[in-house]
Amino acid sequence: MNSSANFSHIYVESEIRSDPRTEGILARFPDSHVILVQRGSDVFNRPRQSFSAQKKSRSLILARKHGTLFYHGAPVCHSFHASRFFYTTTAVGCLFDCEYCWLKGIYASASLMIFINQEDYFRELEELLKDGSLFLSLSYETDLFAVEELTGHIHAWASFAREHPDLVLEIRTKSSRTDLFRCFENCPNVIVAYTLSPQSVITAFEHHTPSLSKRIQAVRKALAEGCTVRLCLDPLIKVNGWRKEYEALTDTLDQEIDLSRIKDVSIGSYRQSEPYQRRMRKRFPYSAVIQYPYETEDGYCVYSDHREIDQWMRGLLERYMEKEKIFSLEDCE
Amino acid sequence: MIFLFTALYAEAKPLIEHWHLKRKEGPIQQFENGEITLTVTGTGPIAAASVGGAVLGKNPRHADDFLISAGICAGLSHQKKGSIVLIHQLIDQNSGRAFYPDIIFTSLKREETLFTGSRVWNRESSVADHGLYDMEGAALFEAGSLFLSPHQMRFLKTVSDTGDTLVTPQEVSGLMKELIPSLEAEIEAMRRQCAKEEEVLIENEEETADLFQASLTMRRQIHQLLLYCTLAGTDWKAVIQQKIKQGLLPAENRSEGKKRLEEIRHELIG
Ligand code: SF4
Repeated sequence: MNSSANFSHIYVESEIRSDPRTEGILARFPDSHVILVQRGSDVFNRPRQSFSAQKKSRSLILARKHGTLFYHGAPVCHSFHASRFFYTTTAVGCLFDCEYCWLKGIYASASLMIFINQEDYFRELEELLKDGSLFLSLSYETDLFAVEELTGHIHAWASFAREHPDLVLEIRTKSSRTDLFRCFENCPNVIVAYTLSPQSVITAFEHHTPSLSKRIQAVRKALAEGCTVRLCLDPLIKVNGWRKEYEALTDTLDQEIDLSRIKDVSIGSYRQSEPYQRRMRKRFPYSAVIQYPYETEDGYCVYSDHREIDQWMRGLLERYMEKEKIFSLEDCE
Repeated sequence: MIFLFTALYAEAKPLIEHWHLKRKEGPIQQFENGEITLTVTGTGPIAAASVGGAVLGKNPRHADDFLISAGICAGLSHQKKGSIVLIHQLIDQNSGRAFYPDIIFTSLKREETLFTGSRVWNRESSVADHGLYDMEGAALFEAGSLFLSPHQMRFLKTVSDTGDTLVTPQEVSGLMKELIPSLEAEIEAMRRQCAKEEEVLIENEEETADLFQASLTMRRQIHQLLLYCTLAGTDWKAVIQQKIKQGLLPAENRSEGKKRLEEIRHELIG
């Protein structure tokens, strides 16, 4: 687990207080104050919260997820040609702290909220699978690798995927941990998707995340252990000398990783829904990546030359791998 | 500004003496020293919410302002008299609504839930059966939430009784005097918790925009561009100076200004 995970306050919904999973999580934090609440969302969605203040000491919320469990993928997310594309969230909030993370536009809270009712997700997903195969992305609103000790979600999803070959699962991560790969044995339909950025972008904007070299080591280990691996060079962020930075990144990837064994690569420059971007600008006045003068196109804030950037990135990658393996957003439409 | 609140004058008295606070003119009982404003709300949730709202609504608010409510309460779980407790959950007994202040830094170990009711606690009629009980906390939090973030509010209680015994004003003041060291430590914790980040100043923004004969929309674009460059450490001033040297700025008119702005934008952010 991420070393910054040390919650001074844990809010627990009364109805799940005696659930063994809740007990298991609470046992890890004997010094935390445990506060019983009616709904976790009452804490998570409080008005006027300050993300910047809260991130100095995060809280944990344990809840049961009600209502919609699976959402249709947004057009600005990669679907990899899947005809049925969903995402789900079994945890919201992240122990990592990427300045550009869309969570900061959606939610005001820096807390981590974990939903423990995994069985409800599986029940509903079995219903969805009756209508045919689907692609499901698991970690748009958290990094599940970073919290596996608490949630056990990765193990549970891997077991479910093993029994449901019609399901293609994508687990995105910036984590460098390598101890979870065994649970993906005989799960070619589970894709471990590593987000990789130049070290300068990591240092500037992806706080508390592992370095590029550690992530690359994790990719190599994942491949060695037979995992299906996707690389996500997404979001591409314009920093000073960004072209050189991304050229160096792809060179390094070519040198360090057997790219022929990578399932595919997704690319995409920074994009954010306009209302989220507006909120993030207000909440984070000191973040260069948030304050960049983006242009608005079809309701999204994008670089004015985003098409050229994506084309350029594609060209760069085509030096190293077959073009069929490279997915930009336009390919996914 | 530190906004201190108590319900009773007997609670406020030792604090007024400790910080040498001076009575402020006006219908609300307030005492201040330039840094701290102490308000006595009166007893009960309506008094707490209305006075709290009036005080916070009238004053200009800053990111580093915070509210601390300090006072006596009943301990419903046999807490010892004089126990000092930080509140992490406030429940309005009438509506059932719960409120949660953010506790990011604190010097106190002991935390509990505070129930707030509109009557003196009564074993038979109260839903509160554990934690602490008072008649103002949740109401003050709810009123404060209109103006402040959850990390800008803190509730500190000292247990005076078990809910069904009477306490004299002298006892109340005595307990509050003992609370002062914890209150001082919590003020320090709140200073850290509510510390303002340094502001980013864009030098000569107005004068720069004038060089482009900028409209309001252009001024907004220039602001965003210069803010980004300042944050990213890009030397935008050198680029502007160069344009001035080349005689390309100031622009003759707005349409030329637009053209220059596009060029400069391209040079700065590619
Ligand atoms: S790792 Fe992903 S979910 Fe976590 S902060 Fe970064 S972008 Fe957000």
